[in-house]
Formats: sequence, structure tokens, C-alpha cells
Amino acid sequence: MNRIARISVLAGLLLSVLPVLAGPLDAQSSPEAQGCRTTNVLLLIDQSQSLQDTDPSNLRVTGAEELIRSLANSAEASGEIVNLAIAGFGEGAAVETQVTLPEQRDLAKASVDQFAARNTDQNTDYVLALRLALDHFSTMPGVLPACSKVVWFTDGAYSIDQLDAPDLAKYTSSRNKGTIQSQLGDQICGPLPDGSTQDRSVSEAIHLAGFSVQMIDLRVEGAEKPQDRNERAQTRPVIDRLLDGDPADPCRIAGGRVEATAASDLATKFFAQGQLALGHFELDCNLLASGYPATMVTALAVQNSNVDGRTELLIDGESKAGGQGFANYSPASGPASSGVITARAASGTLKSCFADLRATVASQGDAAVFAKAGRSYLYFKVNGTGAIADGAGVTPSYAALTATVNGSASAVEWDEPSRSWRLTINGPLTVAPVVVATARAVGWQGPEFAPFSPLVDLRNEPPAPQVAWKGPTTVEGKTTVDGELVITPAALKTGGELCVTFQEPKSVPDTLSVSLAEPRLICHSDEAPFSLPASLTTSSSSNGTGQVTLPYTTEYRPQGSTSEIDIGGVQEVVFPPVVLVKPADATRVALISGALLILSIVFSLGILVALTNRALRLPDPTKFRSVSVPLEVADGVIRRAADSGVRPEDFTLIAGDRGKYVLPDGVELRSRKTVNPFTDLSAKAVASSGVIGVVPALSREVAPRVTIPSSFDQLTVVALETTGLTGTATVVAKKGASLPMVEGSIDDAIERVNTERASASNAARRLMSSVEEEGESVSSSPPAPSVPITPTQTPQSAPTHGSNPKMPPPPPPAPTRRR
Amino acid sequence: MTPPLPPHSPSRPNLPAAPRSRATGRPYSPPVHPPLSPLALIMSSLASAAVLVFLARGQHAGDTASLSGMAFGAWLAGSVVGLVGFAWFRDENLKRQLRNTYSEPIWKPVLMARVGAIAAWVIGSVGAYMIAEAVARR
Repeated sequence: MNRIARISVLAGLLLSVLPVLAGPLDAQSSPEAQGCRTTNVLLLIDQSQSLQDTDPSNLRVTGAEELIRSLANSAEASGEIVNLAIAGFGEGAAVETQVTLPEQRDLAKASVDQFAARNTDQNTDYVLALRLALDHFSTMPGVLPACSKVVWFTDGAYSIDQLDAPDLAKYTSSRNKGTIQSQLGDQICGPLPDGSTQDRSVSEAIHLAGFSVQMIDLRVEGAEKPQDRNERAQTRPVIDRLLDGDPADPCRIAGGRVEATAASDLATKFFAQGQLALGHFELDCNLLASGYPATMVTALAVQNSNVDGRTELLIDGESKAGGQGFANYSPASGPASSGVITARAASGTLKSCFADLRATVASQGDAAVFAKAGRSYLYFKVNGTGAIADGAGVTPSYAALTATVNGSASAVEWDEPSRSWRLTINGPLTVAPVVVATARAVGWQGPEFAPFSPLVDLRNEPPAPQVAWKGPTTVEGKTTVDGELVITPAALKTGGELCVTFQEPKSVPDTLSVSLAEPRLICHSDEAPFSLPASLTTSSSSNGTGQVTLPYTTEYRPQGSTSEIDIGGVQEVVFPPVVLVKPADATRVALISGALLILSIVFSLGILVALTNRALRLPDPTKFRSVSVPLEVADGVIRRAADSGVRPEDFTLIAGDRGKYVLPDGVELRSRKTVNPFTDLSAKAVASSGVIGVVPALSREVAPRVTIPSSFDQLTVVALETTGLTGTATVVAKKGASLPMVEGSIDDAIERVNTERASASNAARRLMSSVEEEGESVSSSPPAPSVPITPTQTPQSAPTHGSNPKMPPPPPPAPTRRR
Repeated sequence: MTPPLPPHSPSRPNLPAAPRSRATGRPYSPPVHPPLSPLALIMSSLASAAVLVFLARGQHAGDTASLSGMAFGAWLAGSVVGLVGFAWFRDENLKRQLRNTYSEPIWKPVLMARVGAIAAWVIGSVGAYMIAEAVARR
């Protein structure tokens, strides 16, 4: 490298570093903090043809719509204005639309919708994209740099395939693809390469302009072509250096880069970038589940995982903001003075949460230390900026505090009794220490809150000790609960003695009182904390919250001295809020619990009764047809009459409804109603005269009324006239049932009824005969086996009875005629 | 007298024949099992009730006069939805049991439904107790 080149490099580096030296990379500082009532956002959307592979479903458009909703809703909630410019880049770069949000959100949406068809540019020109941002913001003089943001969407590769693109001349005179692509790093970060037509590198120009760049980098592994993969590998180091690199690197500009590994992530990424553009930072959504201190919240935006799900933000259960898929809360008059914020995401979960939080650190008690003390304590509170009431400080669940004493980190711990942070200062001291306490919000990606540096008073007597109630804070009924007042010396190990005198407590309501062990004076060495027994008493039962304050004075007796010094004047112990609760009457609890449990059972039984009655209905008769064939009885055996084959035209519609079927020969199938939720699902087959046997049936007799299942696919009724010489077999079968199946079911039903009749006859005979006669009777006329008529015998079914415990095994073949 | 036609006589109308088992030659119907959707509802209500009772306990539900949404949700999920799920299960299962191809898998879904419904009801009753405590303090 020659001398001129070296000087150029050094000069370039110096120029690049100057803005960094002039101020930190303050992309992390809130626009509101910078006084942004108007935020300028440039949305740069990639329109190169590689998107056809990486985002074929145009989810970038959906994501950009999400950004617009995010910006518009937040701007609307806070009363701010967002000037949004929408631009595309590829072979060139140009602003397409400029809108003001929240008013022109529809126009903005219509503009980004056009980008669905814009994916044909052969170049993905990052230099032109960033130069467009420079040109755009240069037309807005007087706008604070922190209020200008670029949200830049790309699929991750600088690519120049169209060398005739006229805008290339804006930054290079070269027309060689390899040369142009290899010079990306120098065009962006400098020093400017040979053939560059820029005045200065892009990063240097952005430093001077002061805006920040938030990139959404879609990097879909596997979806791109090999050439795209190579170009991405070349591009990545430059972009990483520009947006993710070392803050001391002159190429690094304000902003950041988020990576989406799938197009489906884009909506969330755009939402996040929109919030970042507004100066909001990510907040752990889990913290919102248990209630977040509203006193800290200047703005809060939450996104539901279900884009159509109702999303709400509530303070103490009262809805403050809501919307479909999103909720934005931004109180116009600043953070609430009390309460907790919770978020509710219907039909989904909280996907991402962004907030702008404010809190301040303040001293609790005197900011004073005793010069001679071996150790002193200073107490701090972190208050949301909306908090005005005492005791409303933020707990360690939501804030963390660090402190330095004379420039060195010092131990800070949460002191639960006093509900404050306690900083330890080691002594003895000759000069007042310089203390700086800094708080940050737990689970929030935003910056630390402004540091607090109290003017510490170095005294010749110790500061007043901290006194706090240590005991139950819930009192149930008319009772007394014991606790103690813990006195923590603010300066320890001075060799002296502290005497604390408690005065008359003040409490609200009157029914709440504090009793102290007598005498109300306690003296103790200041070696360690000490305590005085005390109790809280309620004189009547009530529900509510009680407040108790207890004034006290402190005297200090130095080592070897006989006189005491009054220190701190009259101080006050502020008890934590005392929850007053009426006791629960055991009888009422039992009655109400019982009523609720009976209600749940009755309700469920009611549902079961309704379902059972529904199931008791007969099948829909319009889906069934019936057919009848004549029967004759000879020698007590039923058989089909001659020429009784079933033909398709014999099938007829079934008269009736799901409550009753009317079949030929006076036979009816009747469903029943019940109030018994555990009844069998059965119906009745009824003959107007004579007897019937039915297959399938739930009873085994051949009788005028037979119990049948309420649900069946096919059913056969064998009806015998009163004379017992003739009858009919009627099959109720589904439409389209095959004739062989119908024929088979008629034969099976006749067989079952014959078996049943024979079984009944034998049983009657056995009753009338002696044991020996019965033996003879059996040898002369073997009894038919006792066969229940069950659904297992329906002809269309496979014999899987073994797997059904409720179904008996099939009977052996009966000695009846088969066709 | 005309003899009855054989089952597969070509002179019979061309009606669809019922599917038949290869092993037995008899008409075949696929096996029917207990319903799984109501069982899933019972188990979901059991899990929901357990989680809600745990959360309600964490919020000291019943210790004050304020009604806890978690406790109410636990009662609703366990004692009401759980039993309604069981009613649904029983109804569906009874209908299926009427079919002779019904068989119960070895993991005994019927027993699981019964135990799950009872457990959900018991856990839901803890939620009911918390509600009752809060109401009784008023």
C-alpha cells in the first residue's frame, strides 16, 4: 500500500470513528426519551427474484402489514405520529409511498400489498438501498437522528446480475459482476475501492446522518440456489460487520439485525422491528402473566400467537387496551400511579411483548452514614415513574439494582422487611462517599434507567435505624397475630448503643391495632439488628386492607459515654398493607361446596339423560326399507312359505318416525323416553295380535312384546298369527342392503325363533316331569339348546363375540331346516 | 312351487354384495372400539383442573373474600366438563357396544374414562371448595 493510500485509509478510519466518539451507538435509546413526537420510518423491501425461492407465499407482505399495524396501533395508543415511507429495492431503489400513521394505515397496507408481485429484479443491490435511505432522510432536516429508522427486509444476499441497471453508476463505474460484488465490503465500510463513484462509504454517511437500521434477514436454508448460497456467504460478513459487529468498529452503525429462518417467522420479526423503531424493547412475556407493575409502563405492545385471537391488556382486572391479535397500551398521561398490568391472549399465547419502561431510583430514609461506623447501610427504592405513594416500590421480580461506592462495585441486597435495596458501605470514613445506584428492569432488553447519585451526608452520629414489621400481613377474623419489629442499625459496630422508643401507632381502620411489648423502649448495641415483639389485633371481622404506621424516635449512646444523642428525629415504620379477612364459616363452606358439586353432578346427569334419550330413538326410518315374506307352521316348526323369495321391488318405505315404526301385520317398533341416565339403550317390538320373535333382541322370549336394541343396522321380526299356523317375517334393512343378506337374515331369524320355541316347550315339559321321566323325555326328544337371541347373530356381522364381554357366545347349530 | 334362488344367482338383480371375511366367508364388519374424543376431553379436563388448582393455590385462592378465576376454572374444568365428557363417553360407548364387532383395547379406555372422570371431579371439587371459602368470607 503506498503512502497516499495509507493516509486515505487513516483519514477514512478517523472520519468513521468521529461520530462514534461524538456519541454512543444510541439506537438503544428510546425515541420518546429523545423527544420524538414524530418518528420517521423507511420500510425497505427486497424485490429481487430470489424471493421466488425463499418466500414463494409472499409472507413478507403479510409481515409488512404486521409492521404497519404495529406502528399504527402503537402510534394511536400514544398519540404520536409515524411518517412511514415504503420503498422497494432490487435493480434500483425508490420510495413508492409516503403515509402518516395511524391515519393512513389503509393506504400503507395497499402499498405493501403491491410487493407481492415484485419479485423479478435480477439485482439485490444493498448499496442502492442504503443510499436511498441516506437520500430520504437528508430531505428531512431538523429531525432528530434517533427518531429516524430504517426497517430493511431482505433475503440475505447482495447480488448483481443485471449489469445494465442504470442506478449502478450511482456508486460504481465498473461493469464487471465479479468486481462489483467483491467490492461490497469496501463500498459499505470503506475505504472506497477503485471505480467507486461515492463521496464516502455508506457506513460513514449513515454515521453522519445518524439514523439507525433494523434489518430483517430472511435466511431460509436449503430453499436457495447454489449461486444464491455463494452470494449470501460473500454478503454475510459485510452485513454482520455493519449491523452486528464490534461497536468500536467504524463500520458498525446504529441498529441491528434479526434473522428469520423461515418465511412464516416474518410476521413476528416485522412486529418486533416496528416496536424497535418506536423505541420499545422486548419484555419477557412471562412477567405479564403474574402482573407487571403498571407504574413502570409508558408503552406496552403484545402480540397474540393467534392472529385472530382477542388480545387484552388489563390493569387490576380492568381492560385498558385490546384488539385482534395485538394490544397496545400507552397511557397519554404517563404511567399509572398504581396497579398491575396483565395480558390476556384468547385462543393463543403471548408471542412477543415490547415495552417502554421508566423507573427511578431514590433513597429510602436519610442518605447519611456515620463516619466512625465499621459498616453503614444506605437504603434505596426503585419506583416506577408513575408511583407516587409510599411503599409502592418495585420488587426484585421486576427490577435489579447495582451500585458503586467511590467507583467500586459494592454489595447490594434486597431487604424484605423494609422492602428496599440495602447498600453496604464499609467504614470508618473520613470523607463522604460517592455513591451511584443504577437500576434496570428484569426481563427487559431496554437500557438501564438513569443512575441516581445521592448526596451522602457524613455525620458524627449514626443515622436513624430502619425499623420494619416482620410477621403475618394477613389477619383472619377477630384475632391477634404475633410478629416483631426488626430494628436494623444504619451504622453497625460503632461500639455504641441504640435506644428506640415507639410512640402511639396509627392504624386504619380503627378495628386494627398494634400492640407492643412493654416498655416501648428498647436499647441494644449496634453490633447487629435486633427486634421487639409486637402483635397485630383486629377487634372485629371485616374484609379489606389495613394501613398501620408507627412513629419512633432513636437515641444513640456512643461508646464510653453516659449521655445520649437524639438521632433522626421522629421516624415512622410503615407496615406493609395488612389484608383483613373475615373467617370462613365451616357450615357455609360445606353448603356452598356441596351445592356446587351437586350442581356439577346434576348438570352432567342432565346432559347424560339428554344424550341417553337421544340414543334411545330408533334409527332414521328414511334410511331403511322393509320387506315381508309369508311363513307357515308345520309340526310346530316355522318355515318359509313356498315361492317366498325376496325381490328388489318388494322393498317398501317404512311408515313412522324415530319414535315408532309401523310394520306390516300390526307389528310396531317403539322407542321410549327415560329419566334414568343409566338405562339400557333398548326399544320395544310390539305385536297387535299373536306373538313375535325378533333378531337382534335383548330378551330371549317369543312374546307379544320383545325388547330390542334401539340402534340396529338390520332387524328381522318373525310374527305368528294367533292361530299359530301362519305368520310373516319382516326385515328392516338399510337402503341398498344386498338380497343375500336379507334372505340370510330371514332364515337366521326363523332358526332362532324355532330354537326359542323348542327351548320354551322343553322347559315346560321338564317342570311337569319327574327326574327319571325327564331323562326318558330327553332321550326320546333331545332338547334344543337354550339359545338367547342376541345381536351376535345378525347375519351381516363377523363372529367377533369373543372380544365383546357383553355378548354371549354363539349357539351351536340348531336342528332346524336350512335352505 | 319355485325354489328360492341361490345367493349369487346371475338372475338376481345386480345389488352390491356385503363385504365378507376371507377367513370365515361370513359378512365382515370392521371392529369398533370405545370412543377416543370424549376420553381425550376427560383427560384434558383432568389436566386443566389440576393445573388450575395448582395456580389457584399459588394465588392463595380462598384465603380472602375475592373470587379466584383459577379456582372457578378448576371447578368448571374438573367437576363439570369432566363429568360431561364422561356422559358423552358413556353414551357413545353404549351405542358402540350394541355392535357385535365392539372390542376394548388392552389399555382399557373404559376404565381410564371412569378413573379420569372421578379424578377430575375430585380435583374440581377442590376448586369448588376454594370458591366456597371465598364466598363464605363475605
